[in-house]
Amino acid sequence: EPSSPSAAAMSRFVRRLAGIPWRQIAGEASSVGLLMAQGLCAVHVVSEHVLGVAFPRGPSMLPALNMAGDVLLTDKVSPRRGWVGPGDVVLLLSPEDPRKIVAKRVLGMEGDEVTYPVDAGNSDATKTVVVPQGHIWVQGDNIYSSNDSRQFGPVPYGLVKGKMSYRIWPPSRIGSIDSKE
Amino acid sequence: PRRPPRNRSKALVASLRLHGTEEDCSCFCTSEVQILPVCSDRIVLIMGARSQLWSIAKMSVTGGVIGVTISDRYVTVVAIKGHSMHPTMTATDSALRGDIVLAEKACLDQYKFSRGDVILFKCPSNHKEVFVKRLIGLPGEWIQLPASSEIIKVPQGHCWVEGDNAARSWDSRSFGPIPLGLINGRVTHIIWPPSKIGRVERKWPEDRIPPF
Repeated sequence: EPSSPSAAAMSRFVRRLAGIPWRQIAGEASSVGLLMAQGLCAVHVVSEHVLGVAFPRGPSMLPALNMAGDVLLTDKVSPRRGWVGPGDVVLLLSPEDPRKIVAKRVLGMEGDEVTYPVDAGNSDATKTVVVPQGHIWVQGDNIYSSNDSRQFGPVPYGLVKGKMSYRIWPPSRIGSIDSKE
Repeated sequence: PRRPPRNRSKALVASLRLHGTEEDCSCFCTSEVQILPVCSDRIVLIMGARSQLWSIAKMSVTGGVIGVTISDRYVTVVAIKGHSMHPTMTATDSALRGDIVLAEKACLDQYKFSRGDVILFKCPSNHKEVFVKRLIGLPGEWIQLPASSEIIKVPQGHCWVEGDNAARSWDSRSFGPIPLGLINGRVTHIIWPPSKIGRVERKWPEDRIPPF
């Protein structure tokens, strides 16, 4: 027999606590947590190794890519297998800052001779280089406003992270990204 | 035990196909199978084996996906081939008896490294090969080339790497500074052979002038 009303309330509370199915709640929470972890891992594997989504910004790839608002599907399989060639638009880590990802068009693969305008807009002078082994030459379509291989030189192929394959937004421009020389 | 009528065992097999998990099989097993004839027992066993194969397949796919995610984002295991980091890490001709190291990927979040770190990176002239070398020069630093006593500046976004075993190391002294984007991870521990288990320390080579 409890001796006072507060002790009675305490023992009622403790009995209530014991009645809650803690083990079942913990089991369900851990299984939901495991499911969420599996889901996140699956999303990571797909977006890193199969097909990713990119939101390119900036004027360097006009008119092929808008300054903002485009949503592109990136093919992650092709760069790993070496299925990248001149004319492809690729995503690569910037050789000037590895935390930045840039989108540029490949103009030359290893061994190719690339002729490029040295000072677009101001003079017609061009220069020709041979792309070294294991490297690629990338240039933005908008040569007047693009920081690319003309400034930082040919980049190692290992920096390529994806190939832009298909535009899925805006609806008026849905379609595959043209690969032009 | 008397044989139940045919239609009843059909109904049981139909409901087993509907559920198909091991737990449900055992539920049926306890209450129904004991009074069923032997042929229904065999059907329950076959259903159990197929669902077991399926759950093994599911577990291996899940394990693979989680393993790939952990190996891409947090920590990965690499076997050393090549002698450019001798004696810190050695290889032998057989892959099983070369050193095996643990590399962490958290450093790739901000690309913040320290002088003397041992890093994994893709070879600049062949993206399929991965090298392991020590970081000697960080972006923006002036370093002295050991042989010619030339002073060069490491460009922004690049780093200068050299192997501990200078005589047998193909490194920045041949292919120049490498972009930080080629780095795959930072080696933290050696986990094989047992005699060399331990941390891989950040070390500055002796008789090298520290850069500034």
